[in-house]
Amino acid sequence: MNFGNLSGLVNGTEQVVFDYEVPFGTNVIGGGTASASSDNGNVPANAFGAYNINTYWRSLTESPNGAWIKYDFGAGVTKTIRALKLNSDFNQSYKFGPFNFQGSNNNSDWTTVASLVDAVTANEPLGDKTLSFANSTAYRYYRLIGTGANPSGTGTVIYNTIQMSESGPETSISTGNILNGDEDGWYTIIVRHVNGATGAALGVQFNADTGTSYGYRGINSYSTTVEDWAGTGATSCRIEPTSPASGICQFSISRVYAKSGSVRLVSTLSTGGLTGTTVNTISSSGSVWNNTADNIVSAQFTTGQANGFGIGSRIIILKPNNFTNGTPTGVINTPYIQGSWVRLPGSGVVASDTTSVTITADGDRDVLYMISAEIVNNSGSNPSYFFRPNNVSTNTVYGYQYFQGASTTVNADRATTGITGIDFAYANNGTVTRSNVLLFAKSGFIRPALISRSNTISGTTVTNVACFGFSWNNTADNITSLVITADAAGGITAGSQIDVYALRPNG
Amino acid sequence: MNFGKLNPYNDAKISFPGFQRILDFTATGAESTKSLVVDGDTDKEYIVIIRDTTTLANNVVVLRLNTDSGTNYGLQWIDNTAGTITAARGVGATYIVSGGQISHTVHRILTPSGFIKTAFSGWVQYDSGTTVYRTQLRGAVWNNTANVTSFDFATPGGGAFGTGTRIIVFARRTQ
Repeated sequence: MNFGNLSGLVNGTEQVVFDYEVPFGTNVIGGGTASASSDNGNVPANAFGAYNINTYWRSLTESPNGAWIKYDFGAGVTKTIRALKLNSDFNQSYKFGPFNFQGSNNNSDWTTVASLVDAVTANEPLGDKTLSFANSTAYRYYRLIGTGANPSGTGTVIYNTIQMSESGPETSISTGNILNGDEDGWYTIIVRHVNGATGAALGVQFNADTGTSYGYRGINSYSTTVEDWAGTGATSCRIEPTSPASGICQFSISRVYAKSGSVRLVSTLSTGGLTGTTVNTISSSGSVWNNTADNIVSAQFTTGQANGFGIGSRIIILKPNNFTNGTPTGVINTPYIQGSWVRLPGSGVVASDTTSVTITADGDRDVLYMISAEIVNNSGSNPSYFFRPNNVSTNTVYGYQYFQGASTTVNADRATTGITGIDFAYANNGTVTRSNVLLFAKSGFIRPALISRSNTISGTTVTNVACFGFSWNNTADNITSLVITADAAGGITAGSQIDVYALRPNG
Repeated sequence: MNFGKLNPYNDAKISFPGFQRILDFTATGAESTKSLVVDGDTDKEYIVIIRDTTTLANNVVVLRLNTDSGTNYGLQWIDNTAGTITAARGVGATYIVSGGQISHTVHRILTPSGFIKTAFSGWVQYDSGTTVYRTQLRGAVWNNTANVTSFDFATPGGGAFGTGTRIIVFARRTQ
C-alpha cells in the first residue's frame, strides 16, 4: 500500500522527540530615530527599516574604525537589547570588523554592552549574521561603533538592516519530563551550540541531577596537539571541551544508553571553536552518569556559564520507538516519515565509474544531513574526496581540525585555507574508504560538520582512522545541492555506495 | 497523512528510505551466541548498538559475519585508555566489531556484496564511580565480498554474555 508523506510514530524507527532553538525573538526597532557618524546620502534610517537590497546606510568615512550608527528609541522608551541581526548585502568587504555595541540613557555617556565582531574573514559571506550577548540594563540609545579595520581593509561601512531583540542567550535548556529512558533505551542528541558566553562548555544532566555524579574522558585535539581530556566528579556529562570565546559555534552528536540497571554511558563526537574557517577542536569522548537506578525522564543542558546558549543554539533529540509488539501489518510504502532520517533520491550504489555525485537538497528545510559512504577507488589515481554544499569549491571558505591514528602514530593538524570542500576521505588506488559525515545545514550561522572516517582499506588492513571537525564559513546561502566529488577523474568507481540522509525535524 | 502509531515490527516491514530496528536483544546470562538473519544486499547498511555489561574480557560481545571466525578481519583504532593515547592496527582479527567491558558502543556497517565490508565504531568504557576508563574510535574491515546473510554475535572465549547486555540492530530500509 502506498502512502504519501507520513507523520506520527512508527515502531522500530528513530524519530525526533525534542527540538529547540534559542530564538532571536521580536525585532524591537520602531518609533525611534537613527543617526550615524556620517553618510554619503544613504542615510542611517535605511538600516533600521525593512530589508531592501537597494536601501542601506553607507558611511562617508573610509574606515570602519570609529564609524558608528545609532538608534534612539525615543523619550521615555528603553530596551534591554540582548541580540543583533546584521545584514550587509552590498559587498562582503563593507562590514564592521570588531565593534562595540554600546548603550546610553543620556546620549553622551556610553556603556559597552558587548564587544563583538561582524566580519571575521576577508571573504565574509553576505546575508544575516546574528550576535547575542548578556545584558540586563535597559537603555534608550544604542550604537554600534567600529573599533578596528575589517579583514578586507578600510572600506566604508554599509548595512542594509540592523535588527535588535530583547531576547538573548539562555543559561540552560531542559527537555521537561518527556523522556522515558527505560522504555526508549537510548537517545541520539545533536547540538549546534552557539556560545553565548566566554568559557561556555556544553554538558548534559539527567533528571535535574546537579551533583558530582558525572565523569568523562576523551581524545581532544587542537592544532597539532592530541591530548587526554578527562574529569571525575563533574556536574554534567561533558559534551564539549571548554570553548575559548563567546559567539563561537560548536557541533556535536552524542549517543546515550539510557536504560536503568547500570550506569548510563554517553558516546560523543564534538567539534568546537568554529569561527570563519578556523576549527579549534575536534574531540571524541565518553561520559558517564553514575546513577544506576532512576529512570531518565528529562535532560538538562548546561554550559557552566550564565547565558551560555547563544541565539541559534539548537538541540535535537531522537528516540527509538518501542511499542508493545503487535500483529505485523505488512508492508507500508512511504517516501518520508516526519522527524526520521530519510535517505535522499540520488543516493545508492554508483552504477558506473564517475567523478562526482550530486544530491538535490534544501538545507533550510532539512536542517541536518548525514552521509554514509563507502567509496571504491580503481581509478589508477589516489584521490581525495570532497563534499561540497552548493558545489562551492572556493579554497578560502573551508577549514578543519583533525586527529588520526595510523598504525601506531597519532597526530593532529588544522587548516584554515587552501581546502576546496569538506574533505571527507581519501583512498589509494585499489582500495576502499569508509566515511560518516554529519552536517548542520540550516543557514543563519556558519555550517559545521563532523566526520569520522577510515581510509585506504585493503584486505584486512585499515590504514588509518580519523575524526575531523569542519567549517564552511557561509552563513547565508540555503544549501540546494550536495556534491560528492573526487579530485581525480573516475575516482568514484562503480560499486561505491554513497547515501545521504536528511532529518527534516519540522516536516 | 497524519496517524497515531504504526506498528510494523520484526517480520513486517515499513518500506521507506530510513532505518528500522530489526533486533532488540537483552541477555539473561545464559546465552553465549545470538544470530540474526540479514540480507546485506537488500539493506546495505546496519547500525549496531551494544551495551555490554560483562566485566570479563573473554565475555565481551563480538560480531562476526556469515559465521566466519577466521582471521579475515582488520582493525585500526585510536584509543585513550586512562589518559594514554595510542593508535594501533590489527591485521587478521577474528571479528568486525566488538563491545568492551562495561561499555556502550555504536557501530555502522556497510554490507553490499562485491566489495569488502567496512565498519566504523565509537566506544566508551566505564571503570567505577564517575571514571570513564577508555574511549576509542575504530575502523574495521571484513575482507570478504560475498553477500552478508547473518550477523553472529558471540564472545571471544565462548562464555556467556553479561547479564543485561543489550544488542540493538537497525537495518536501512529501501524502497
